[in-house]
Amino acid sequence: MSETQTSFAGLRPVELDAVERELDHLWRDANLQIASTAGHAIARNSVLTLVTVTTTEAEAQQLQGLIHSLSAQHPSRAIVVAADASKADEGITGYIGTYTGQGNSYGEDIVLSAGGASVSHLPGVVLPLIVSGLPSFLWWTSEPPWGSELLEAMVDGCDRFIIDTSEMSNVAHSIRSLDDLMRRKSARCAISDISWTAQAPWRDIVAQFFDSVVVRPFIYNVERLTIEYAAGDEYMPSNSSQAYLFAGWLASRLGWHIRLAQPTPGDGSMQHTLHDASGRIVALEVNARYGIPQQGGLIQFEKEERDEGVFVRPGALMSIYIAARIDGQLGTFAVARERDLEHATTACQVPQASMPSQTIHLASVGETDPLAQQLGNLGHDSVYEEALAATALMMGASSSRRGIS
Amino acid sequence: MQIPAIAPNPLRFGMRTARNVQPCIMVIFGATGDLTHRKLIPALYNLALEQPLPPQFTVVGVARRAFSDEQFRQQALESVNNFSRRSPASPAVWETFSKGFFYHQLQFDNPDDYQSLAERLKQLDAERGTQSNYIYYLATPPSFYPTIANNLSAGGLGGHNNSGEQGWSRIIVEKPFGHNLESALALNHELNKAFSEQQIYRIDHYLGKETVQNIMVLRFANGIFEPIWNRRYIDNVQITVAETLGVGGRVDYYEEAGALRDMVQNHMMQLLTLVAMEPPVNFDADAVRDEKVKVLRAITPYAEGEVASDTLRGQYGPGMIGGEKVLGYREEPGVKANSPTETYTALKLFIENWRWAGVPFYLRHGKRLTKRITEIAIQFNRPPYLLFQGTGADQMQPNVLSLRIQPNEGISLLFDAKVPGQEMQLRSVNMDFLYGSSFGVEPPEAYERLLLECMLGDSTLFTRIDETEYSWRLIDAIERGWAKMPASALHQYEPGTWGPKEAATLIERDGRTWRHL
Repeated sequence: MSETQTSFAGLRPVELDAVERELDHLWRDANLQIASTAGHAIARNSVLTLVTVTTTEAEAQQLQGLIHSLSAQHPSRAIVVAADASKADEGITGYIGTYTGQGNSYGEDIVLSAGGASVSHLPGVVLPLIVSGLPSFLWWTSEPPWGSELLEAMVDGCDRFIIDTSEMSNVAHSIRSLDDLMRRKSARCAISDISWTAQAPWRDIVAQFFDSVVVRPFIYNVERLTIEYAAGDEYMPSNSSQAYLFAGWLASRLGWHIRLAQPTPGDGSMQHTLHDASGRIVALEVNARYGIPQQGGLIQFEKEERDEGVFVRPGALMSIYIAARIDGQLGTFAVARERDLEHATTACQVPQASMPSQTIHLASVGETDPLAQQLGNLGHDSVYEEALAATALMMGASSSRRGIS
Repeated sequence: MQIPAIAPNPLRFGMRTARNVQPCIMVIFGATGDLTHRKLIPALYNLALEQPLPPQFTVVGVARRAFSDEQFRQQALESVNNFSRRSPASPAVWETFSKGFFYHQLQFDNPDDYQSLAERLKQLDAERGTQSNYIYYLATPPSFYPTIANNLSAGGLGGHNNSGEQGWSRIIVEKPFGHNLESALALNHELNKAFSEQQIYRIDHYLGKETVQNIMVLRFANGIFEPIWNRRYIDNVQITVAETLGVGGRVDYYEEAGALRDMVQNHMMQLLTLVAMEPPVNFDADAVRDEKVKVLRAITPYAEGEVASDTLRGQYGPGMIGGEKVLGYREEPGVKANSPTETYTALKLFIENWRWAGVPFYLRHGKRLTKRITEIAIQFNRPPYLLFQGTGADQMQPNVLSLRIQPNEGISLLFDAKVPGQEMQLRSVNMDFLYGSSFGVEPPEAYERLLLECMLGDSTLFTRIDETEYSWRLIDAIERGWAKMPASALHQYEPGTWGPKEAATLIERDGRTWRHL
């Protein structure tokens, strides 16, 4: 059996109060059809509910393909919500469908579309459709309406809230708002960021420099941290989220003081002065690198004209450089994306220690499927939350209310 | 701020790769052999690709042939391209990873060669920062194990860090570990001259399989199974390891080993202990293995006459399987015309402890059987069918929880349900969990997991000497009994069947039947 389009003839409209009953019928009909051809019956199960909120029906349709591709690893009930408050209010309409895809993966789709004032009523429709007893994920694909009742109610009804600050137009505002939401909602909902997951391989690589006990003391004596990220272009704006979250991660893990961070904007670069746990200055420089072939985010809303070559998303990390000094002896640690953009290579110079260079295929260690990894996370990620708090401080959040020095 | 260098890496906290591999050299003895090229090199490459090994990680291939480093690298690349699940090799990753591959020619029995090996390792330590951490992988015939271990020790490379320098060393040995209790203990004695028990990693690749590890998760991470996992609710347990293949190119080994030593002593005993053990206090290596050993110790030894009644052996004759003609075992090239080696074995045993007293465990394994399948089936007691008299309910199958190790890895629960309609008609239905459907990701190869665990110094998934010892005690008792039995006790069976028909008797006289798989 192939995708919905061929076996189940796409989604069918459904009355909102009949979604569960009609889904039951869809599965029963599908199995009856399979039974008549002596095929193997499809078991209906899920390991989670994924609620995805976007703005237009076109985007909702595009999202279905991405969500189906996740079903091999995360068979789920997918609820895709197209919420456009600027559209005329025609109530809330619903569609349902089931599908099977590659590797016997399968799942069920519910698409809800709302415009105008009906948008505010979405929580009352969406939340009852979440499968009881299974983890529920809320993925907001664009800038969430921070502080709105809609967002608050949806977050309260789910176990994990996912956004991608790499996709936000105002990174500083988004980071600060997310940090604020995290503090208020931590008791009932975990917060996560695709931008954070996408740079996990870079954190692994940098951490690996300091696994060696000979090299480890250098991490406590950092004097310079330089982070480069792929700048945007006229179509896709620059986004420094990954770079700052990386800096926030190092700062939080190493107990750096951020209160006195003073950004100095330069030409495509930002410079901060931080202090390490002993009060010594750590110079942080965040640079945008131009001229990197790019493509859009996780969702491709329009067919890419550039269908050859390799691209990275705007904001993707390009290089990390750490300089540290012990007793006057300099150690340098660098990891940089190769020209093919798929690999990163390390370089380490430390007095009296040998560390060969290493090349890593970034997709193989998880750079390219951050959403799938998000769905594997249950509960709070304290390392991320501490990194987010530190990043928010760099981005201008008030430190006094947080009790962070 | 002065931070002691030995403080844990603060950047590792909370990371998915929180357990990090220390820089080390893996010295592979038998570097030009099949195991190295089909399993070890591809597994190391996959680890390098998916979970970066430290940049210092180094491989030294050791064998008798004259090879250059470059030839070894080229052969390793072909191994990755032919046998890795992530083939072909990424040129960029291979470029830096293969710079850590070296070859050292060595005669296993020449002590002088080990001096030069020691010098080579020291040199590599200096060049690559591997800190005198060594893993020796013996991918050689077991007869070389003592020789290699003793020469390593004499060459200053032994496990007891007798060189006085920093660093650790571990040794991995493949099965078979001995061919009976006496030879296993003798082999262990030889290894212990150079390596302590904590440094010896006896590999059983079954323990690296995801589905085998899932047995512990199923039992101890779910509240619904453990309360009924005992003699009050379970009628019997059946463990089946069925293969469709014959002995293939392993005739020399198989003629000596047979089905009992080849499969039951190691893999099936591991499955048995994981199913039957008590919850360990934690997942430390010794905590888990302590519980497994308790199970083996509790298996009732076979008394004199019980081998004949509770065990059975068979040998496949000529016939057809899958529509193709196949040779009988005794017709296979290299097999003696009157070979008494069994290719099928079935046995019944009891675990005499509070949890399992009186519950029979039926084990069967054979080659050239109907289908390839490895399964553990927990068969529960029948309920009283008083309510359903006259409905045929008493003919229904009892509830069965089956754990399929391969293929179609997953878990099924067989239970009874009412057929929709006016009449009370019951039907057995299967509730299936398929790994492939629920988690459509390709699991790592068993060797990847096991090599990584050894690099991390975690021996939970490796067999401890007392596990080996107690399982050999059981196997030896069966072999002794078989030796006294007439040649007619080796039952012939048709390829493509479920083994000798006498195997049915072994279980049917208890009022039970083998599972239809």
